[in-house]
Amino acid sequence: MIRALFINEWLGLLRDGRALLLLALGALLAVVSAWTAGSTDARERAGQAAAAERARAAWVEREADNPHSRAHYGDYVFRPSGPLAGLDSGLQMVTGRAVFTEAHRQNAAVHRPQGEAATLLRFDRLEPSNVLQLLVPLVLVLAGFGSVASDRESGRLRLLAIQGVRPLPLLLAKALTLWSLGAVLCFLVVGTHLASAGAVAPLRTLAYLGLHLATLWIVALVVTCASAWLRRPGTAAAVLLLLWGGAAIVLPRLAAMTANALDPLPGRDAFEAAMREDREQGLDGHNPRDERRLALEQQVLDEYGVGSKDELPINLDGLMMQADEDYGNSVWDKHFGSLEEHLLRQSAVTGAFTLANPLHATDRLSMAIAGTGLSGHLAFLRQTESYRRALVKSLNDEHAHGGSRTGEWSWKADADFYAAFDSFQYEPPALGALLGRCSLELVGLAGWFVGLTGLLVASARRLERGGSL
Amino acid sequence: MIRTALGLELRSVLRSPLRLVAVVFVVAAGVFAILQGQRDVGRWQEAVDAGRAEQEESLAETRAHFAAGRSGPEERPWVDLSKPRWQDWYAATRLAREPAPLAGIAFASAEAGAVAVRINRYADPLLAQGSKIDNPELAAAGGLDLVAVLALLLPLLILALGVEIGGHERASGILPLVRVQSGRDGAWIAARCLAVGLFGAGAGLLLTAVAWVVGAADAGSALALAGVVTAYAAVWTAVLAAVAHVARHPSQSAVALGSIWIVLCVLVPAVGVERSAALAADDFALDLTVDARDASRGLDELEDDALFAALLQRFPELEQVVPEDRAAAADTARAGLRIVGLEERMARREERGQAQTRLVRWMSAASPAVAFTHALERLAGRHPDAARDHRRAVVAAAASRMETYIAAAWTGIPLDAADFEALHASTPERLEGAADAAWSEAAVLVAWALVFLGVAFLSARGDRRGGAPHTARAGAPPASQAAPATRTLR
Repeated sequence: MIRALFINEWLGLLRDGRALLLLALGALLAVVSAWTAGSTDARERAGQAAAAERARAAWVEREADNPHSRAHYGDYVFRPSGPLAGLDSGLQMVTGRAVFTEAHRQNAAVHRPQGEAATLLRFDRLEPSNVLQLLVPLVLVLAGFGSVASDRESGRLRLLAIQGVRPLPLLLAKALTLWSLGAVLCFLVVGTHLASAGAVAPLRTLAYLGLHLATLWIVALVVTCASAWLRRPGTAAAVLLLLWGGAAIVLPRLAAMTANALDPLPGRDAFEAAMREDREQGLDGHNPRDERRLALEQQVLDEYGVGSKDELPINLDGLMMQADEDYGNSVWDKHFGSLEEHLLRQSAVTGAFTLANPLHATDRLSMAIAGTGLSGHLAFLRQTESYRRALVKSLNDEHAHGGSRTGEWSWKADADFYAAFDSFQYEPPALGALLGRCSLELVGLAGWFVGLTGLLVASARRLERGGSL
Repeated sequence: MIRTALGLELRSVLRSPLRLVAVVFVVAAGVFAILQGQRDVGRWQEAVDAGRAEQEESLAETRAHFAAGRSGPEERPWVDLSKPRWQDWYAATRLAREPAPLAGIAFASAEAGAVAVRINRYADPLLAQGSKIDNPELAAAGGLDLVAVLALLLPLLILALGVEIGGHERASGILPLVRVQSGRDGAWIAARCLAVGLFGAGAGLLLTAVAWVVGAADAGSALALAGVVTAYAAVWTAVLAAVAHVARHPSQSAVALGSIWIVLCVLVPAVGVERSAALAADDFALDLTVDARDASRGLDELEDDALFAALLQRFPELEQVVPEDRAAAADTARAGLRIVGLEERMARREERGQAQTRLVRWMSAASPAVAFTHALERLAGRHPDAARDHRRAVVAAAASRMETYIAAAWTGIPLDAADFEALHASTPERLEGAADAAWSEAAVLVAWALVFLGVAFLSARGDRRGGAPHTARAGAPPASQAAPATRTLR
């Protein structure tokens, strides 16, 4: 019976000019968004690769250099795109694109090229994830708000009851029709992406598809239940549009504002001042009068069994600077560790809102799958810092043990030494690890899925009991 | 008629819990956003004050060294305050960007320019960070400041309060009665729309007044804000009127109004953001990073003649103090050319940013929500132009410092406390945050209002001429339901 009803509902949709128009508009948006976002992503990847290549060329072209000069010359790391950024660019629009890695200090990611269009950045992008999470649900709302209410108003429900149609199969068929409408658009988006994307991440793409199909089922259930519970199609339309506006526009912003209000981040100046203060407690690699430096110097002299720096077979300056780096790294670990915890605490506050808002939960899960969420960004920052540490340590080791003596600041390591350095390579966190951090969102979505299925059954019983048919 | 319509709408708001909740929700969200905005302004001010405190600490320390006849801190024997490079370093002036009086209303703005930059020869505002550490996840969500509340929720409030206007009258068959009683059904619908618009504008103006009082803003800024809010409310009232004059049923109104809101507040801006992302796709700031670093290092290879020629072209006043021994003065000249490089980079960046600026202008014309947001961010002084003005001021101050530094280095005369004070005094310390005029955006809003009013007017005229049915075409129960509705009218 469900099959016959389902086909009948689809025929009804196709006969209705408005539904056809909605479907056509949805399809157009789906294809256009996937195409444009895909091409933007491809250009971004090409731009990132070109920038990384340019930085690499600059590093190699410098030839012979003093290792510490090279450590100050530094290297630039350019933020790579997440594996599925063509479908969901996530936070990439608001994170800096370039990090300068150098000796003595850890720099933040800078440069957001859309700064001059800041006014627009308050709004969402027309990209596949937003089409699937915001606009396709809206298409389902507009196509389905009257699916039961209009039938009731026109007396068609009663006619169906006389023909022996039970409420539950009827509601299920209506929900399935709406869902399949969304599913068509979802497949269109992913299909266009696959057709235009260079490299495909099959597991992530499948997870992305599954997530959005599940979300669209939730939306279809909400629309069908609202249409069944509310007597007038106008009321159903108004309530569903308000629910959509609340879930898509208001609640995510409210969640962000609440997290900021409850647990505000420190100001940059205060954060940097605290870090500077801790840093100053450590050894100053460049100050010959620093007491800690003198103590370490004595320790090295004892180790090598010599009486003065000049007798050392190595360059003490390299060891001093690495000791300074080691201390600086521990300061960074302390402060950035607590900042990262703070960011994740704020993220948990917004995560709590996802229990009340399946679209927000989907948004966060989608970013996690695409590797463009907060976890992906923090992983990039951690990997950049690891790269910086390895780079500076290699340079300090060369300074210390490469053949120069203490105080020989003009000594140069040859070009081959620098050419042997590997450039920064970003390893996106595994999908399982990213999803593992989204348990609240997964639980929330599962709860909505089960709860709304139950509500559909309850709606059917209500229709049966209330004699509305 | 408007008095009757106002009374009717007021009664329906007071009698309907859902409508009352909608009004209270928007006003409460606005007040909450204003209070959060004030907290944000407080943090901005704290950042400015912290920079200023560090500046004063550095100045006091240096003055103490001069008073004690020391050349610098004892633990840093290499510091010599009679040398220009150390004077430049210790005169740690911060050029602060003060918050504009209404800065709190746009605290979720994505404009993240620095608020206090230390001025010295090395100042580079192009890569300077803002005073806030942002959680990218929250920044991407957009934030719910007063701008967002007014841009997104105020239209929804107006549309929700007026969703049944026109459609309900036609569906329930009241309109013929109105025509019989007053002879002007179109005027009745317009009056009801105006009444709802006045409620919406009232809510917006109430929030404007709260923002004015809480932010202790000047009357001029508050009036400008009130004007833009009124214009925006007028746009959505006109939208309501345009739909009310054609809708045959409340469900038609709901779908039409919802669709217009979505197109103007979500879809059109989304197209703009997508275009902006496309414009910025391959911009990884190579000019500000790798190329800038290499250009700076490349100065080492410049011949002295070319070096001095380039520097004197930018700082012609220095011609009088160029030393005989140019080779010894070359390092200073190179430092000077780094500022020239910074100025060039800034100019190129501003040129590159023009495409984004033009896009925002186009999107403002295409969507009243974008125009309104743009106008309010201007009034709040949280706009890319404000950040750009600050960057320009920082670069100008750094260039001035550089010129002073080079002149002092080339003359070679040891500097004293008076020179230090003069150096500090020559650098501006603050750039007042000012509300920018938003005339073009206000004009766009008025144009949008006129367009929708024109649609409403033409629909009403067409309705009268064509004699279109005043009741719903199908499923309308005119006579039986007209009575209670008429009672409502009375």
